[in-house]
Amino acid sequence: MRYSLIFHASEPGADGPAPSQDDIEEMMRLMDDYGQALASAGVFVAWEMLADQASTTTVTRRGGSVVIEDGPFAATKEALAGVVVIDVSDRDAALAWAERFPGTSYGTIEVRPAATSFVDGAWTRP
Amino acid sequence: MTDRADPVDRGLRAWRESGVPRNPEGWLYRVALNARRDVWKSAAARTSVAFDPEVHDEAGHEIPAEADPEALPDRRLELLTACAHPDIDPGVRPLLMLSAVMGLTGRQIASAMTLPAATVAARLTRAKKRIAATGLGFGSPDRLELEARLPDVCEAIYGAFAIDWVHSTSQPREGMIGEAIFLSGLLARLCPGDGESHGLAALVHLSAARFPARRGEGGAFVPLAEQDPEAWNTSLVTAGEHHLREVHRCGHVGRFGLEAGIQILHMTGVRRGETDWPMLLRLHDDLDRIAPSLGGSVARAAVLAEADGPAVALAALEALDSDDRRLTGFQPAWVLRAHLLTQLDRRDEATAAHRRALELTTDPAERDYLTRLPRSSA
Repeated sequence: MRYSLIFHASEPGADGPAPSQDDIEEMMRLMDDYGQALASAGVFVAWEMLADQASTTTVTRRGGSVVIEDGPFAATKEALAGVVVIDVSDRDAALAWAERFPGTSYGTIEVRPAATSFVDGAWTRP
Repeated sequence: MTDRADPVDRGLRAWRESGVPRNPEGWLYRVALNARRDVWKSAAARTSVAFDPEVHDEAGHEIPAEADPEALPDRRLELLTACAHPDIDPGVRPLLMLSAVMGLTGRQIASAMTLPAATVAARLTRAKKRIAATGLGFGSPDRLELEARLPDVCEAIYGAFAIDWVHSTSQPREGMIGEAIFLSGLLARLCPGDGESHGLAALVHLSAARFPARRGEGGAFVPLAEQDPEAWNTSLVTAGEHHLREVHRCGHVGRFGLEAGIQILHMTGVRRGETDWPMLLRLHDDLDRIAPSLGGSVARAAVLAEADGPAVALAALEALDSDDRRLTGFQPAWVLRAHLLTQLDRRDEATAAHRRALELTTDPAERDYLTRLPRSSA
């Protein structure tokens, strides 16, 4: 069943000094190891790390006509920073992977099961 | 920043400007000392506490304003104790010890613990602020109080050692091992009469001795029973055995002493090709009594399998299961269950347990090992 590991963290530099190039490379190496581990375990579905909030555009038709605005829906100190989608047997396995996520040293992972997923052109329920 | 910045801010600012202090323990001690002195001087302190010449003069004697931190031989023990203070997050205690007692820079600690340097810096800053704000036991060189907090110190050193994330591609973290060896040896030297300090040193040295043998070619996982004793580090084994003898001399065997005893019995067993399972079981029983843990209970069941057979062990494991819900997601329990069911020739259940164990395995080397395990059905 699919789980999303939803990663929230401070925007780089918003909470203390911005990470150095070395820090960024070290974290990229850890993230790469993690991705390889997910792939080798056969649970990997998708992983997106997101650009910062400033490059977000929101689109809504909630009020009737289309409104397009620069900036996130709600600017927060801890922003949505990435999403890892994995396919594992249950919550315990999802939590085991979430614990290993390198970014938890500076952010938070929300572990949430998919309600339904659009896979290969069709909706699938877990 | 205003002139009213608190003492630690001043200290940190000086630190940033002049680099890492040559004597970090003295630096940290002085920050805490200054904070205390400032609290005594502050209006809040003067108006909230009635002045009692006996108490306050006494305090003045305890912490001479110009105390030379290096003049006091036990300063490092005091420092270790302060770093393991209950008010400091357990995850940060080892970092603080490395910074305060060993003088490692934030960057060195970060690379040893594979944390981002900015994260380490932020955690250290927070902890040092906390120490500056409260003193946290600095300046109270009461030996009894220090000794009462030794378990926290041991726990923190062990915590640094036992962090278990292993890189999938690179080598397992070796950075922290050297530091844990140093800190545990230091603690045992500072507290020669404390059995548990020697127990911790024994455990850390013996575990570290086997480290080179834990991974085979291409980083493959090698379980203890299949390790080559020739690859163990002899001088670390010798040091570990020395500390174990010291545990006996002290006459007090605690959690770490027992775990070290378990280690040495396993290692002797591998060396001789014959393990004293009943003795191991006794140590596990003691450990289970004084420091019960999920990992300990599963390890005990594994020993039980060797001492009394797989059926008895499986019963013990299942008894645990009903006691503890966490067991359903505990990978080692599923590995053991699969092993026991295989031995009992309950193939379908073994296959299911094996599959479950794999689902919960996140370390690629261990996963490879489990996948390659010979199975009764094969």
